[in-house]
Amino acid sequence: VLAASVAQADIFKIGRTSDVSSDLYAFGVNDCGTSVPSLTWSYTKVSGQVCSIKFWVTPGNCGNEITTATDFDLGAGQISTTSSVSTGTLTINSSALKGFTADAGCGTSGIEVSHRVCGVAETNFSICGSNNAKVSALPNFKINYDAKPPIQPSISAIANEDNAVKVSYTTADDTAQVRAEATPAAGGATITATASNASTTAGVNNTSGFVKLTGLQNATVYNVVVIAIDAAGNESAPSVAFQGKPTLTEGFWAVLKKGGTTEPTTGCSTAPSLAVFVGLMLILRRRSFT
Amino acid sequence: VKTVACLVLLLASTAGAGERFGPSPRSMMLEIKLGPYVPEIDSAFQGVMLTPYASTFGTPMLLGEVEFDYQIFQNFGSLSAAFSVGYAEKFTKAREAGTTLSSDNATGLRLLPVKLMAVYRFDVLNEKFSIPVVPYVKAGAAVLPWWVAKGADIEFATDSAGLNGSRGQGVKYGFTGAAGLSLCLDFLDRRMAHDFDTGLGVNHTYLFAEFATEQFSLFNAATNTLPLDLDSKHVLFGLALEF
Repeated sequence: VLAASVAQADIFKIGRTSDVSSDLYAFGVNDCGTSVPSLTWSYTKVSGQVCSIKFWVTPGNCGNEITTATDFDLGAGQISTTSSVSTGTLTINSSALKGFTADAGCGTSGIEVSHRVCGVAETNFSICGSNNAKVSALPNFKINYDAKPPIQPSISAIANEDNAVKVSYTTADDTAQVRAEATPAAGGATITATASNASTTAGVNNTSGFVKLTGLQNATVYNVVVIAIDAAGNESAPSVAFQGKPTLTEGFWAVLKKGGTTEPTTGCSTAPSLAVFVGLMLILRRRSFT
Repeated sequence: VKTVACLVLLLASTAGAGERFGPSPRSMMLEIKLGPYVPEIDSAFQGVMLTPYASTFGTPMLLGEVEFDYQIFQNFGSLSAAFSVGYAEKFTKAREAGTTLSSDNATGLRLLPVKLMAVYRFDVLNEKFSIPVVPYVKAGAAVLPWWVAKGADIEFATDSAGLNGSRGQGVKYGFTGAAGLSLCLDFLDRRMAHDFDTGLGVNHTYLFAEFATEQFSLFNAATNTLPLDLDSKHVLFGLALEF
């Protein structure tokens, strides 16, 4: 009971070295055979002692023990004897993951295979032995092979602006980015713009947002499409094309200018009025408070 | 009899203590106020029958101001030096060039009035006779940075001949004045007002309405017949704390 109470207060985490708060790495066809970005683990002990730490990767759920037949053993972690915090790094090659089959290995298109990086520490309030408590790293870090492109997005509206169009879109939940492309209907170079999907409004089954394409020619008709990109870099099929036509607009300043308004470029400074004000204050300041 | 005598003495001593602790010293005033605001832009176009502000925006801007007064004289009323900062904006859709059609671009006018003023408050009625009204007047200097946005940028535009391009931004200098009436709210609950003073040092709480004007034309002589006229006359309503 004592060992268990110690374990509940300890903190055990695994995250990407470049972003320890991240608990997911998604990769695609082009990343097969390469190393997963370096992972960092840390174990913060509150009291008692850490007896051992083990790591492995499994295509299923972590549990408390490695399953040799299906899991990939990452070995033991080094426990600090001088600090209450033990840390280390884990290096994983995507080719060592065991969730792939002979028919659907890494590099196969159209499939998704998930793995979890598991860590279990054995701790004891007094002497390490058979009654050690087990603490799992939480949350489980996930490594997802994603070779499925996102669902084709759709354009919900195009707003024509000055030398720009604002493209509103709807896309699937696993979209990390959206790229908009505008090609002159009469032919010419394509202009692209990319927006993160993170700031969009999440719906029940989709998200929506907008991308602004700038640097366009006014009074030119453009065919505009959007392409959804997921975290693994898979690109969806382009949306159905919408047409946009950037339009020269006149704001309030243009309205005033066309009406003949010219803002004076010179004028007296505020010094005269300030001088009057300060003088008045100095005269009155000579009187004391009552 | 002894008990009654003790109670009388206790009440007498309590009443005496209450009289000894009068209101805390007051030297400052904080005002927060809001009101509709229409710069007199259209007045410069009366001769040519144009109303650019009204036809573009239609309704008044909303002006918000915060004012801080420091009282330098307290005898027959109070005289203060005051500093205030305000902000007003109005946005609408820009029109497609050469038409009256609304586009998808937004355009807006933003104003940031900054004032340095002398304020006289005739608070004798409230302080001496507990009549909770305080008329006041203000006068001073005003600085008005302004800018016109189109989309996310300050708009650049030319005249109808495509010449004299300039960005829609600038600063105006001028005078400001105001006259208003404050209603001291202490009479609603004098005990709470007293606690507000002893606990936080707030002597009085006011609701007020004031008529204000800004005149920039004196310092900003037009270089042609149609200047950008940001003079205004408007009414503000607000809450003030004197402490």
